[in-house]
Amino acid sequence: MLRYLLRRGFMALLVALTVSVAAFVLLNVAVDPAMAIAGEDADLLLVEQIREQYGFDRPIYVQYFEWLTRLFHGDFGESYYWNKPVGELILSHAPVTLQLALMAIFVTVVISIPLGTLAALKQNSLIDRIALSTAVSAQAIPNFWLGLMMIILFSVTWQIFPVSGDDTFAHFILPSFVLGASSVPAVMRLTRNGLLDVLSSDYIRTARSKGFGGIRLLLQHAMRNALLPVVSVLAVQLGQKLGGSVITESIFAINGLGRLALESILGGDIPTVQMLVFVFALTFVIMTLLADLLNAWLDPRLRLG
Amino acid sequence: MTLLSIKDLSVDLKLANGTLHAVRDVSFDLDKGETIGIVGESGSGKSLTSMALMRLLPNTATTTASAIMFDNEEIQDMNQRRFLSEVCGIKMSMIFQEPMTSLNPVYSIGRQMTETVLLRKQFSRPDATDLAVNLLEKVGIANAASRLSQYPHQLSGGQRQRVMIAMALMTQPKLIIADEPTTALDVTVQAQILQLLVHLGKELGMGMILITHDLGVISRMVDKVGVMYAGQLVETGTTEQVFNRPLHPYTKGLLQCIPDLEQDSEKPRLGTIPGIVPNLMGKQSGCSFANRCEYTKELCTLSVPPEVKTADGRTHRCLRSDEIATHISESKDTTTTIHTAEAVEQGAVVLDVEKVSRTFYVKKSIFSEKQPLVAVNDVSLKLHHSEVLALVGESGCGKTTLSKMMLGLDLVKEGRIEINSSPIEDIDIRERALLIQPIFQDPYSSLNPRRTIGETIRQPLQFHKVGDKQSQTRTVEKTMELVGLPHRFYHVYPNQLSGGQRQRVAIARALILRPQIILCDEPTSALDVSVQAQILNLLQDLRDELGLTFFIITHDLGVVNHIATRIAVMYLGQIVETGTRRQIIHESKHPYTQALMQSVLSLEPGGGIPTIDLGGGFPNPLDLPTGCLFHPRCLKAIDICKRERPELKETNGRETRCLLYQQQKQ
Amino acid sequence: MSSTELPISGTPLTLETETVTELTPRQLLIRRIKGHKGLIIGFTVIIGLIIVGIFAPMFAPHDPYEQILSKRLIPPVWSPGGTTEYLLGTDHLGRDYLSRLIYGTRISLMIGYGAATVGLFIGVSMGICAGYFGGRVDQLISYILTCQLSLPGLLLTMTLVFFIGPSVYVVIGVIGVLHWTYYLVVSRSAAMQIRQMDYIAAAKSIGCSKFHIIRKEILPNLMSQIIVIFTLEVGFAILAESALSFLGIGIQAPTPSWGLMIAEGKVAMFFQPWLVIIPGAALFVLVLATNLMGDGIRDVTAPENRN
Repeated sequence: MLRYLLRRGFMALLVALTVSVAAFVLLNVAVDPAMAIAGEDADLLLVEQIREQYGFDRPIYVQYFEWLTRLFHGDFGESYYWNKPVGELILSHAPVTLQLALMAIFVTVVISIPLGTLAALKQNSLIDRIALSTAVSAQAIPNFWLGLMMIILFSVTWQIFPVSGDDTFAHFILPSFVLGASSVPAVMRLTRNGLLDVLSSDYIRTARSKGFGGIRLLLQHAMRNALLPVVSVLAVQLGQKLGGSVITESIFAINGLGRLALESILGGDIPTVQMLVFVFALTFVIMTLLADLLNAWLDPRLRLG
Repeated sequence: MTLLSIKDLSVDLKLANGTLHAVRDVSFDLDKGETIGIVGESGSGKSLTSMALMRLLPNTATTTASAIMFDNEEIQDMNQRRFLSEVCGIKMSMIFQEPMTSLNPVYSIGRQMTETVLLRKQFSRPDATDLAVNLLEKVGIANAASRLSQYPHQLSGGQRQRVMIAMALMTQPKLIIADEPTTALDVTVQAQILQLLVHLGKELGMGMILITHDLGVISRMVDKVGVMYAGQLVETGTTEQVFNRPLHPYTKGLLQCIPDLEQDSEKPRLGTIPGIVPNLMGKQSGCSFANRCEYTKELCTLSVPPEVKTADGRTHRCLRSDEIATHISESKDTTTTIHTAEAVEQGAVVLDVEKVSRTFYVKKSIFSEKQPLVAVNDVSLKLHHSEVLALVGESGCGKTTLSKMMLGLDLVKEGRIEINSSPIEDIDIRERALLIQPIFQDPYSSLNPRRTIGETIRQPLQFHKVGDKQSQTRTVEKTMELVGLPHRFYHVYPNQLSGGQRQRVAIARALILRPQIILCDEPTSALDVSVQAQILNLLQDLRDELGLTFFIITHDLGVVNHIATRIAVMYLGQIVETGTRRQIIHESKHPYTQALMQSVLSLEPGGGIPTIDLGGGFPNPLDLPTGCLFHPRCLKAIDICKRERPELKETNGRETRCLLYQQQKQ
Repeated sequence: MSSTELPISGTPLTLETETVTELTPRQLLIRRIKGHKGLIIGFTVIIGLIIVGIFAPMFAPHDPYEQILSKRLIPPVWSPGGTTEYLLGTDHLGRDYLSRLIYGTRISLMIGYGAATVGLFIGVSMGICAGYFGGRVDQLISYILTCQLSLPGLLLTMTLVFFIGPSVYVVIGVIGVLHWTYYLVVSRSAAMQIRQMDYIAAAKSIGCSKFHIIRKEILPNLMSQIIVIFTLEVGFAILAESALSFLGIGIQAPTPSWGLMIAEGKVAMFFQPWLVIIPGAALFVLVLATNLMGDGIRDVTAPENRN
């Protein structure tokens, strides 16, 4: 177990480092940071001046190592656009995003796991077909459009929920539903198909031959096996939501990390964008690591193998 | 006292294109403490019958019967709740074929063993644990108490099957249904597990239904036999009756298909059953065996033969049994034999394996040291022109690794392999194809599903640019004839063929370049007995007609005895004994070969399961024993065997790697 | 049920021996296609939309760029105040909404199919290499995959498109280059499975080279799975483009893109919701049809993978 832990931790660290290199290189090669600061129509001389002033003319690996060293010292850099330390920016926007992501994942779990389980238990029945066509349709709905429709219906027509903002709990209900709904098809299908696989496995046949049936068979023999892959996917989805709610946050005017990212992009604020990419990737890596550990705890083959 | 009585059990499966009548009107009785063997080829409905009894069939299946009496109660209409809490898993337990997947991987052995008795409150938790330990010891698992907290993946296949058996015994059932309980295991383990089952069954006075395709097993360990074909029980009777005086032509055909170890120097051609099993869609209009039966007359196709009870308590479903019975029973002894000469004179050496070793380095995790795994250990073999050399060994002994090197699919890193005196790595890849060609075990994975049969057989010609398109087609057609494939299969895809037909296609592909050597890796182990016999006969004919040289890898000594001229036995990467077929089969000197021979369960009604002189389990190849590699399992091992590693020494044309034998010689 | 091999492939009971009764793969495929409603519906809609996209000038009743400020915000024909001249009404600049919708088909289809094709080449080539060669190659490619999965895809797409400069080709390129993981995962595991097949060993024994084996033995067996993923990725790319354009980072005004139309309509959303509903519904129909087609192809080519 300890060895597995160490191995996974080491891999996660390696991935985080590689990703930071990739993000740094991508954003400094594909994009001209000096140009981004100066603005598109700026005078070439000014651009050159900025390039020298910020040290963009040095080799990229030198810049990277400087960035990394400062990172290790807790210095997340300075935003040109917001005129604030990037670390401060991220910290102040994070709580809202965290709340939204957790609520969204709650919505996903509450809808997709019961629905997927029912669909698998009654394969090819009406409920199965409804669940599957819901999944197919939900996958085709543009998420931002769903958000707008929700606003039109619940906020404008019926006036149940506030239109936008992040002041009260009620403000989070529509956005978390919209954000959570985007993961429902994947998680529901996985639950259904995973459970179907498990139910047709040899060890379930053994359990049935031992006199287990109905809800007892499901809870005591099938569910733990079927939920193993779901745990990983939920962690991945949560990781994405912690970083990827750009659209939802901008529609509902929630002042979280997604909105910060969007506005920083539009403002040409490379240091902030770069740090956000890295922080999101790191969050994702940590989430998958946690999922792996949870899986190892649930699955003796990983724990003892 | 009748324990179980089934009358007219039928199982229908609803499929997309109709209803499949998978089991039709099966009836049999079983007394307390009695064992019945249900034998049949794949698809005969034998497993479905038992699953229907346990109500384990999928929802698409419907089961009907006039009566299912179990323990003096009609269980057909019993409600599900009562069935689960009183019958299924309590009075009636089942053991399945796949030990690797039949235990839940996320729960401990102890939990899985005790959960039923705890749920039904048969025992308290401490009592249940004691019983579990007790039973695990009984089925021969060492350190039983500590096993309870282990998980399935920590046990080997044989151990898991033992756990399955112990688990089935927890509730002290009155009936055990064992569905191919040993098919997935190695031969030496098979015999041990079967012996255990029989022994426990008798000791605890349980009735047992043993389902298997293996006639040898059936003949030795059951009281009664039922032969199933195409969903019907075509014949039942005592073991002695069915095996010595079969009444149904199918039973007779099946018995003749089995390669026999008793046969000596002359090798009779195996009997075969021509044709393939009919499909079971739609209503049956005649005898289901009519299209393959040599005694078929018009009346056989007109009505379904009813089940007939004979005076001595047997049943059968053959309309003409009165007329043909004597013929069937008699002809068993006078099999249509065509003698093929055993290659006595040795031809030139065509394939020479010289001191070949192959070591893999396994790394358990990125932090641990690489560990050497010696898969092939200093192997030398000579294959002479037009002989059939068989390499025999259990799974994991290194025989497949060796064959890969011989085909050039893996590099020869230590030692050398020469074909016609030139090292295999010096031979141009294209030229090598003309020298040696393979036939594989699994006919389902050996054909590309996207190619027609014609394209598949033609591929080697096309790749080597032999002749123009027309002459290629002619060659393909000729080769198809040679292996017994009708021309109309040319444009057919593999999914439309049966396993035996696919194997013929694979043989045709291997033959079409007319290579010198054919290397067969378990050529028949994936096939039913009747089909196996067809393929073995074909290989023998091809050798006689084309003067081919065969190298056959197998674990099945029956097959070996039928086709090989020389045999090499492999254990843990080493050759432990070589010799002519007669020397190995009848006068083996190495204790391992002798154990292998004992584990072959030939037809012998009431013969029982022999004890095999083999100790311990298959050793960990990562941690090889000192001295003779076989000594930890050898019952004849002497002191020196633990210290000294024996050499392969030749005497009278045979080679043996055994210190004891070598000492005796001196 | 794994232990019971059912005799469904044999001959009917009363026929002569060894008759071929199964259908050829092609016949089987045609039969399955005919019985699959989702596939037929999806395919028809896609073909219809492709025709509409290609011949947009013939279908569009007006110039999609022409602004008639006096005719701003005319509601669709079924609402009070709608006219048959502008079936779907006009937008806030007085442009014909139906014509813009028709021209928007082009953008969605081009970007959808374009980006999915770029991703296909990257993902499948890496996947086959990883699956077929295994060992070190596989470890390296799997590592790249893990890293790629950790990157925030949408954020990177937005950043790159914005800074490189939004145009149709940049959008295609960036979405394609950043979305190939699904191809890789599937083709890797499929290639791994096929590599173990005995027909590969048979081909090697004939003397076939690695390249020959990949091209002739592995690729044909991967095709149907690749097509399925391609179709699903088209749907994904269409949604990604619309999201970018909605955020003002993708296709720029005045080019008619459905995502951009929703963004523009958002301003007038509260009193003229059709401006948002119509392009969104169009996106929904297009992506739904694409996904139905993808699922359908999977069902008919490999029904065993349905679950």
